[in-house]
This record gives sequence, structure tokens and C-alpha cells, in this order.
Amino acid sequence: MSILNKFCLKGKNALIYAPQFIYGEEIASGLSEAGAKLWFCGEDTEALRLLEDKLNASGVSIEGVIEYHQGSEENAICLVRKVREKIGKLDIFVDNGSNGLLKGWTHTYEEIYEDLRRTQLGLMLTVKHIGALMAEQDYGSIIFISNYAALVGCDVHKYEDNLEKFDEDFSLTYGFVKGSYVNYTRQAAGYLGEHNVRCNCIAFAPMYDEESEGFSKAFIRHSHLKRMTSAEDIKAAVVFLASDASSYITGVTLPVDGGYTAK
Amino acid sequence: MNTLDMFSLKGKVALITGGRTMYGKGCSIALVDAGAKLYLASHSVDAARKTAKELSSRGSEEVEVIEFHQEDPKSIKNMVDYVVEKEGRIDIFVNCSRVIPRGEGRGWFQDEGALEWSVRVNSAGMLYMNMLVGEQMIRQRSGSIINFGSMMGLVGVEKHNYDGEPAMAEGAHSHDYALNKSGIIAWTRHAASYYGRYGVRVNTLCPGGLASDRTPARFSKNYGKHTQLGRLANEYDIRGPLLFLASDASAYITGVSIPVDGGYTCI
Repeated sequence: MSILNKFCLKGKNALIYAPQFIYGEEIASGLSEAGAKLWFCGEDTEALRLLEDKLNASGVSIEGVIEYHQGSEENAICLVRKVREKIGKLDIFVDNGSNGLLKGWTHTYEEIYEDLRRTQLGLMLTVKHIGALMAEQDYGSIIFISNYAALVGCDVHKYEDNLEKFDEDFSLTYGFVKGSYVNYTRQAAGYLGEHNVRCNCIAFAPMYDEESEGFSKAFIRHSHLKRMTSAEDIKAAVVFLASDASSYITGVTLPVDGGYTAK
Repeated sequence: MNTLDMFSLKGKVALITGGRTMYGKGCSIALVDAGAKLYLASHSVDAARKTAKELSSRGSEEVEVIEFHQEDPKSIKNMVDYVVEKEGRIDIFVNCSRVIPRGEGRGWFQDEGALEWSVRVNSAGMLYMNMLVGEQMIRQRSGSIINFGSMMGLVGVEKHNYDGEPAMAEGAHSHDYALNKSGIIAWTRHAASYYGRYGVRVNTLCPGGLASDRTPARFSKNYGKHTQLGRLANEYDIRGPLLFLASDASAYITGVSIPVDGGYTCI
């Protein structure tokens, strides 16, 4: 088999949770371009439909949208039932839901809990049931989407001209949520490995954002490759971990950050 | 300054959660032995008073007990407010409390009740108490926060540690522990960046398994083989690392997570 065929996803079915958030559009395009059939799931079906329309218009076909309110066992079981009915064999699951809603450092306990309930409890229940489904199949690749904050702290000095972005990135829960994926990836890989289900995480750098030019410039200055993450970087990394090209890789967090965390 | 004096906590106010037993007790002993005024926050007040009496006999300051329930945000706030009202400051905050999830199902099959409890208490409660202590330390422009991660926040499960111990093996693949401890390690860097400009340091200890009189001999042997020092941790092993991070001896260290695991995670 040609090595390029190892990256091919023809005949594979992929489900993406919360693709409307950053990186989701590129993840969907990449999986589709590599030949996978795609489904979306998430709470905000309107946003998912809008993304579906946008991608369809650009030639990326989406097979369907599954409404899924992450955060309860009942809903996770229901998701798996729908996956069995609509998709059949699920080869690839991408979790893109680690985007918290909190901004700023100071919050009430209730605000903190609600943010973690959605991002942490929901994640665990989803992985528990999707993982069990893939274990039954004796095949699967689970990919968590995180970012560089999983590996290093955000740098307060990069936000001097952008207080709004400072409040977004320096939310109390941000580093906790982004970083919780790193060892959860290893933990899940440990349980699912003997069922031939792989579990990996990608820690992307931010994409270039004209509205946060000062931050972007500061970020680029600190990276080895002197640029931010491109659409192609995102597509390639996801396709690599989704495909059999990475069939001996599990439990890793792959930095795709131009070397930002390498120094 | 004499180097050993850098480790002294004389004149410092320390607050510890979960400081009554196991690793927490080792931390409490280190704080008291180094001269800190210690507030011991615990949900088991009567048992904590006994520990406080024992601790008080080691040091020059009386150890005070605060009733504290991590599942109750009001209790968390009361704990912090109490120390601030009494002392006007918190120099050292050690958080080693973790409440075992209340729910059904073990390991990979933990149910929603157990996972929700863990998120509410061990994650949201942990961040909330750090935030409140951090507010006080910002006002003081100084402080050392020490959370408890775990070597299980750094690596996945070694199944063979549980060979011959099926009951322990069943619980090894839980979801919440690795997620929470991994989050604490990353949050340590995140918070160190946020608090650094105020002179507040944030670090984490990542201990390995602690030997107790309930540890099965077979597990001790299996686990010991996976460490470089050939054994589980004993009651003394945490004291030095804790005191280092609590004291001015680590004044230029922030955002780190130190494995205290006999070399478990170095291979």
C-alpha cells in the first residue's frame, strides 16, 4: 500500500462535536477532503446548520446534523443510539467543545460550576459512551481539540493592547479546561487501547486574528516558524490522527503551534 | 540570610484543606515544624481537633480548626473569610482536599452522579477556593499557593500495578481523576501567569502512591517495581517538597508541578 493511502479516509465515518467553534470548519474540510463521510453533533443546531450550508456551498458534503445536548448520561446514550441508526460504524470522533463561556478571572461559584459542567462533565460522559461504542467495533480514533494553553500558560505581556482578549484567555477556567485534556487523553487511551481504539489530542496555536493584531504579532515573535496556525495545518494534523497513518499513536498531545511551546 | 533560614515559616499564616490525614497531614506537620501559624480546614471537625492538638504540641503556635465542606461554596467562602478576619492575611495556601465522588459505577463505568459530583466539588470547588485566596493574596501583593496534582495527572494507568488486586484494578480507569489532576497541572501555569505580576506564586505537587496500613502487599510490590526508588511514598516524603514551595526558598519558582513519586514518571 502506498504510504499516501494510509492517510486516506475513504469509507470512514466521522462525527464532530461542536464544529461551530474555532478550528471546526477546517477540521470538517480536512476530513472531507481526505474522503471521510461527515456528521455534526451539538447543542446549537442552528449554528451547525449554518456551518453545514457554508461547507456544502464550498463543496464539502455533510451527511447530517445530530442534536446533542452534552452533559447528561441519558443524552450521551441517546447520541450513541442515533449514531448507530444514522451512521452505523463510527470510525472517527472529534471533540471540539472545549471552548468555555466564561470571561475574566472573578466569578461566582455557580458560574464556574456551569462552565465546567458543560465542558468537563459533558466530555467525560460523551467519551465514556462513544468509547464503548468504538470498543465494540474494535476500531476507532478519538481526537480532542485543545490549544497551546494545555501545555504552557498564557503570557500576560502579549495582551497589553487587547483587554477583551485578555479577559477571554484569562478566564479562571480556561487553563484548567484546556489542560485537562492532556492526561485525560492518556487515561482514555489506557482503557480503550486493548480494543484498538486510539485517543489523542491536538494543541493548536491560535489562528491569525486581525482584531487581535497586537496579540498575533507578539505570538508570532515567540514562535519558531514565525506564523500562526493555518487552515492547512489544522486539516493535516486532524487527518493524520484520524487516519491509519497514525495507527501506532495513542495517548499523545500533539502541539501544532509552530514551535511556540518548544521553548 | 542563612540558607536554612530561607525555609523558615516563622511569622507566616498558612491555610490548609485536607490537612488531617495522609499527604495532608505530612504537609500540616511541615508547616507547623517550620513555624507557621496553621489553620486546618476539615469536614471532620472532631477528628481534625485531635490532629490539631497533636500538631500544636510540635510548634510554638496553636493550630486552629475550621469546619469546611468543599461541596458547599458558602463554606469555602467562610473558610477564607475566617482566616482573613483573624490574621489579616494568608501567606500560604495548601489545597490537598479531594472528595471521593459519590455515585455508582467504578472506573470507566463511573455514572453521571459520580462524575457530576467530582466536577462540582473537586474541580469547581477547587477553582473557587483558589480564586478567593488569590483575591486576598493580590491585596497583600504576596503569597504562595500550592495545589495537589498527582502523578496520575502526568501519566496514564499502568495496568500491571494492579495484578492480583482485581478490586483496585476495577477503579483504575476512572474518568474524573485524570481529567481533574491534568487540569490542575495546566491551571498552575495559567494561574502563575495571571498572579505573577502581583507577587503571588502558584505551584503544584504531584505525588505518587502513599503507603498506608491498608495498602495490599502485592500492590506495593507491583507499584514499587515501576518506581526508580523501588517503593511507595512514605509519610515523610512530602514534607520537604511542600516546605520548599511554601517558603521563600522557592521565591523564584512559579507555575511548576513537581513530581514527588520516587521516579515513577521519569521512565
